[in-house]
Amino acid sequence: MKGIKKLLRVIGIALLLSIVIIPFLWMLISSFTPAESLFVKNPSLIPKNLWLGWYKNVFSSSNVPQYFLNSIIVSSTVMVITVVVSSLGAYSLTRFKYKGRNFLSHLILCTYIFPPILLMLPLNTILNGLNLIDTYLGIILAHLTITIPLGIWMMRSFFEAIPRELEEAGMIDGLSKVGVFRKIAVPMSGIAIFSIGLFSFIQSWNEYLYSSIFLISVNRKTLPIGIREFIAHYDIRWGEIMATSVLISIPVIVIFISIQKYFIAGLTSGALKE
Amino acid sequence: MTRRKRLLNNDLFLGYMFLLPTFVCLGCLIIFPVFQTIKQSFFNINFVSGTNSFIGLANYISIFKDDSFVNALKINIVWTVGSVLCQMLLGLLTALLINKESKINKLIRSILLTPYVIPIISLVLLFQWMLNDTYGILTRFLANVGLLKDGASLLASTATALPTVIAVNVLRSFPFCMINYLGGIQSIPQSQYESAMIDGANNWQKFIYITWPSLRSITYSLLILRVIWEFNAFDLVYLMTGGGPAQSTQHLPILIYTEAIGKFNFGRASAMSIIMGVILVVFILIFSGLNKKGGDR
Repeated sequence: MKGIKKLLRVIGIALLLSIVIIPFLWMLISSFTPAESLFVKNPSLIPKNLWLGWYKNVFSSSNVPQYFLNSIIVSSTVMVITVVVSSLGAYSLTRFKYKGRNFLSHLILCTYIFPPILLMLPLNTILNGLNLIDTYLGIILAHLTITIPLGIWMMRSFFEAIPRELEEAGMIDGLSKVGVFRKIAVPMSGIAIFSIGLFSFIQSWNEYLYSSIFLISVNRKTLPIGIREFIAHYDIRWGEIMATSVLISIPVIVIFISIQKYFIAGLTSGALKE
Repeated sequence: MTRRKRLLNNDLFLGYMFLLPTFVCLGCLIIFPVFQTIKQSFFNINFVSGTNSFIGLANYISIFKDDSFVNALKINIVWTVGSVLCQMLLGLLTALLINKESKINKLIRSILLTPYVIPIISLVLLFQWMLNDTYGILTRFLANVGLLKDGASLLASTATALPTVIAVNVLRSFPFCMINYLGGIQSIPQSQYESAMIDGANNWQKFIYITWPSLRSITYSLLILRVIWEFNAFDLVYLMTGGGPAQSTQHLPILIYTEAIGKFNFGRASAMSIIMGVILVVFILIFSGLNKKGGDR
């Protein structure tokens, strides 16, 4: 009886893993397979050798390198601004006592439920009025509407986890409240702040809707928009698409593996605390 | 004490100063736009014809008479219910399968989380490639097994397009539910299971009497969070099918998008997104009301 249960468990896990792994493996394999063995009715699942043609095409005859640069500029700026704004905001909501604090924190949580599809039109009007369409600054501002509410939400739970006694000890030693924030709270939650930054980097890196509307020229488009240039009506360049997909995913997966513990803590803080 | 020093220790002053950047960002970029959308929904705004006039509730009335809106709402509900139920069920099952703390389970967890972190565009293009009618390996596989006719494609048929998109979405989002359920399962004290063992409870009883009751509050917040998220979700469906074939996957966000970006009817599109928001808020209120009643029992 126990043996059967164990077997069922192993089968279940194997099934799940294969559903998740096989597609990504196929993406990787496709990107290393030349056209004559890729576009056939029953392609072989095992690559014969590493063929780099698609990657060469992507780097030499497409705009992907420029898009990569654009994506890095946008996402890193979003990351820095999100970290600064949301750690200040979250600290205010957890450690200072003042009238209206509860109301304000609810208001900030509410902003989380407004979808990009609702904000898209007025943001378009605002950015248009400020002449920020098709600029880095414009798209960065748009991405902040996604990253800041979540950043504050996650940051709050990290600040709440710092023992109050530590901060009180700092006050007794003559630090002002700002000093406590700078010299105790921030260093104590350094890794958490860092991981929220990377989390917002990923969000901005992956964002599609705003980028597709607010970015127009080659010099500004980010990767998720740029990759669609390989799709023309009757000519979809699957080889280059798979190669670029691998390239887009690598930074995200590297970041994810390096901050996994905090990433998971961040994901769960939203649902567990409410 | 100097004036400066007093200010640096005043909670009211500091609280608002620390929140200032947040409010500049969120106020200008979210709260103001939301009011702007509400205002626009009462206007007839079209950037192409150049009209901009107050028309009261006319947008709302015309939307409710519009078949394509009702249709999109239906598709949106099927999409939301299907996605949320499947991903939560799969997430719970997976969490139960790999909840033991071991090195191999940690590895499995991170592998299972990949679909949730990689860009949606990569996931979508990958599945479009696998479902390609001539070269897609998934299409070939299904044809070889006999589930699909030769030359057919899952994304090209009105009957299968929506279920296919939902399936891909479940693959993307179930890891989120899994991670949250894992957190919940691991916080149940082991002693409860031990005493249940002494009482001779089987696994099913342990699940019904110990695990499930402790997961109820997580299930509740997950449900609300995921419904909000999926009801509003645009990218995956739009990129995968663009609303086709024959509008069979055109849910509300895509309808709003085409109304705004395709036809430039900003007023009507705003009214639609306001209706969407109201539906969500009503759902949340009803659901939290039901949950409170259920909790009192």
